[in-house]
Amino acid sequence: MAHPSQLGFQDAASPVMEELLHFHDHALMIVLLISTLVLYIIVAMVSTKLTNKYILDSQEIEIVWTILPAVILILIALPSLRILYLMDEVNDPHLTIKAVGHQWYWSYEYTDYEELAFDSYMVPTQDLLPGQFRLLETDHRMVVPVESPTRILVSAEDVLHSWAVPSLGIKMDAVPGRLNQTAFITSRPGLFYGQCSEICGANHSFMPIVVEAVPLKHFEEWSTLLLQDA
Amino acid sequence: MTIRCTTSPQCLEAFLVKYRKVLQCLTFADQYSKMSLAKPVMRGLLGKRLRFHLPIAFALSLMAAAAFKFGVTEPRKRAYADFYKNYDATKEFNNMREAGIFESVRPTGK
Repeated sequence: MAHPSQLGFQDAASPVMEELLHFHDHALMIVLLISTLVLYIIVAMVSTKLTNKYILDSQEIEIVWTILPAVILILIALPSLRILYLMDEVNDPHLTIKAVGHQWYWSYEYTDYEELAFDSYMVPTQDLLPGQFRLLETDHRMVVPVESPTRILVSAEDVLHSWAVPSLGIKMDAVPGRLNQTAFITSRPGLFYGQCSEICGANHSFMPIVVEAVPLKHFEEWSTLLLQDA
Repeated sequence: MTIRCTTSPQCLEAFLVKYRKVLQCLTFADQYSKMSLAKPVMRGLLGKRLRFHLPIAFALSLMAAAAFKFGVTEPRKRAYADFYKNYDATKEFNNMREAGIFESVRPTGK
């Protein structure tokens, strides 16, 4: 989850998010290169006594400042497209979960084998236990097996929502009447927090998402227990 | 020294020719006639300034990019590689389980 005074991304918990982090560093490096160049040129242009400095004709510099930006754009586009196609791959997921947005909670359906479904409401601040996070905890978490490809089908019952978990590098709009598909693999066990990312009414800020990644054995025990309770 | 006529150009010319050496000593005209000022540079000033500053600008921006790459990008890649090189998922899971953070598994109390 995020921590106070954080500037960068949250630590990656999936391979896709790691790739996104590295691409962001690459793009930021190029931004820094161009910004330094432009800043130096601006300072050089304003700090001169020359008056005739705006009528300039040079074929060489025209060629340079046409070719160079094209090369820079290609250097940005190639890794970007690579990650775009990487994110689109859904390689034989072991599990499919439906995440449905409502006003103002999420519901999760595990319907691969049995009909397992539950709602996930935010825990109010006054009901938090020591060590829990304000506005981020939910009463029922979405439990997934760790290091297992998982497919998420995102939809909504009423208005637009968006299912987002930054540390997994996922954000998918929940549109009524539409199923949007995304997939992820968690690299390590733990808790991964997210929040609704599409304005959906008064309690848009109070419908968080918690993904709990545990080993497969414990996932199966949990799902069996839940089915028995249902 | 007698000057018969001081008003006509011819008289003046005759005076100057006759007393050229005296006048030169008095006025340093001889030295000035051999020495001349260098013509100031009046063209190509902007081009000269650009040829000086643009290579410096490119060099500085490349240095900034290299500093970011080797100060931020590469350390981050190394940090993730080092983290997962010896990562024991089972041990970490058990630690988190005993800390009681999971909802699907309760601590064993060990």
